Amino acid sequence: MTARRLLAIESSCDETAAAVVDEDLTVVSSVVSSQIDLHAAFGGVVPEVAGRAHVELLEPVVAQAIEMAGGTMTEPGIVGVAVTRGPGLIGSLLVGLSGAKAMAWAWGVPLIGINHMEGHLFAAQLEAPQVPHPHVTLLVSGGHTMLLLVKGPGDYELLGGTIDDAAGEAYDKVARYLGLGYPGGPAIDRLAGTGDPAAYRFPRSMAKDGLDLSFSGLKTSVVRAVDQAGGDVVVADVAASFQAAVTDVLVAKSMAAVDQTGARALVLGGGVAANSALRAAAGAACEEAGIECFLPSLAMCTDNAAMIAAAGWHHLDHVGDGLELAADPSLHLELEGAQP
Amino acid sequence: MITASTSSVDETRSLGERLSAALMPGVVLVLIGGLGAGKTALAQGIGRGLGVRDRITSPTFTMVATYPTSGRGGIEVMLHADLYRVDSGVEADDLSIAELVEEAAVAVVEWGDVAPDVLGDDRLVIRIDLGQGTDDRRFSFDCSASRSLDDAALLAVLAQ
Repeated sequence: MTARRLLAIESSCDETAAAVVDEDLTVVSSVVSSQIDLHAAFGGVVPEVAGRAHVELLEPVVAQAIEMAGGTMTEPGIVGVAVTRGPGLIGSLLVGLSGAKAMAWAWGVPLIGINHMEGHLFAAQLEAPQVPHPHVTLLVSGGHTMLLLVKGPGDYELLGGTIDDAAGEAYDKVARYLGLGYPGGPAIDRLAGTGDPAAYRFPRSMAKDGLDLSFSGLKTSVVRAVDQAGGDVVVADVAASFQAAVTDVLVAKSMAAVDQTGARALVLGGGVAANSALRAAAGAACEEAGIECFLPSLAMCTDNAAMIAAAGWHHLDHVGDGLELAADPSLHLELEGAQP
Repeated sequence: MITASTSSVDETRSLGERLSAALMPGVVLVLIGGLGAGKTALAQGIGRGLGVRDRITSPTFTMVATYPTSGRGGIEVMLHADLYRVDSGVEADDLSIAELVEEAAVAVVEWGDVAPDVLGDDRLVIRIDLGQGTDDRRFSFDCSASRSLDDAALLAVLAQ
C-alpha cells in the first residue's frame, strides 16, 4: 500500500513552490521556482507586486512536484491540498490559494489553509523530529522577526518580536544603501567575511522591554556613519560591523528567551537563518549554555512548500477549509493553546 | 508650507499622534525621507492617534498593511503602505491605494514619491530630513495636493 500523500503550495512572496510530503513527513518532492536550475525551465525571477509570474509558474511547479512523486495532474495520488493563506503579498497569496482551491475541488480532496509562519515552525520537524519540546524558535526573514516558544506541534507562545523593521529588511536596506544589491543578506554576509566587525561600534538595540527587538536605529546609525565619513568608508568594514550588531542582538535575545522559558533547544528559521555569522554565533551560545541548537538546511530556512505540507499534516484531520477560504496578507499566528 | 522639528523617536511619534487629529477619510499621507528618517515612527504615532491597537511595524515586506482604528471621525481603517520595493507607477497602481482609502480609510505611504500620481487627489506630502543631532528630524508638510487639508488645519493640530 502506498503512503498517504499531501500536496502543498506556497506563494506568499517571490517564490512559487510546491511539495508532496508523506504522512510520516518524508519529503517526496519539493520544487521551488527561484532555484537556479528552475529559472531556465520556468523563465526567471518572479516580480513582487502583481503575482503575475506566480500565475505562469504555479501549474508547472505543481505538476513537477506531483510528477516527481509519481503522480499526474489527473491522478495526483494525494489526500489533500495545503496552501499558504497568509501572511504575505496579497496578489501572490491569491494565486496560490485560487490554484489550490481549483485543484482540491477538481480532485475531491480537502483544502487546508496554512499560516506561512507556522510552516516555518514545522520546518524543523521535517529535518529533525527529535528536537525536544519546549524549544525556542527564532524566526528571522525579510518580513518577520519573532521569538516563539514551541511547546509542541501547533502549540506556540509569542515571546517577542520586532517593534519596527524585520532583521532581513535591515539587511536589504543597508545592502541597497551600500550599493551591494538584492538580496542584501547574502551580499553583506559574503563581504562581511573580509571586513573588520569591530571597525564601527554600531548600537546593539535591545528595545529594553523584554524580548522585543528593534533594527531601525541600527539602520540609521549605518547611514550616519557613512555620511559622516563623506562616503569614504571601507564597505566591508561597515558590512562586518553591521552584521556583528544584528547577530549580537538576535543571539542575545534568543538566549534570554531560552533562559526565561527553560527551553531545551534553540531552533533558527527564516531566510536570515541562512546567515553564516548568525549560525556560528547561535551555535556557540547554545554550546556555552549547554542546550541543543538546531540549524535547518539552507533550503529549509528559506520559503518552500514542504514545510507548508508538514503544517498541513498537523491540521488535516481538524481543519476542512471550504472554497470560501480567504487570503489574509496580515494573518496572525494562532498562539498559545492553539492545538485544535 | 508648515514645518516641525523633533529630537527623538518618541517626539516623532507624538507629532504623528497630533497630526492624526487633522485627518479626514480619504486622505493619503505621502512620506518622503531617506533610510532611518523616521517614516515608520511617524506612522506609529498616527496609528496611536487613530486608536490602532495592533503593533505597527515596517510594511516593506507586505507592501500594504491594514489596521482597524477606533472609528473616530469616520476613519475606520488605517492603511500603511511602503513603495520601497516598487519600481514603477504601474506596480504602485496595482496596490489600489487611492481606491482603498475611499472606504472610510486613511493611508500612510512610505517612499510614496516613486508614484505620487496613483495615490489619489487628496494627498498630504510630508518630507522628513535629518537634522544636526543624531535624533533630530525636520518635517515639512505640503498641502498643495490635498482636498481635505490646508495649512491652517495642520497648524491647529501641530501647535497643540
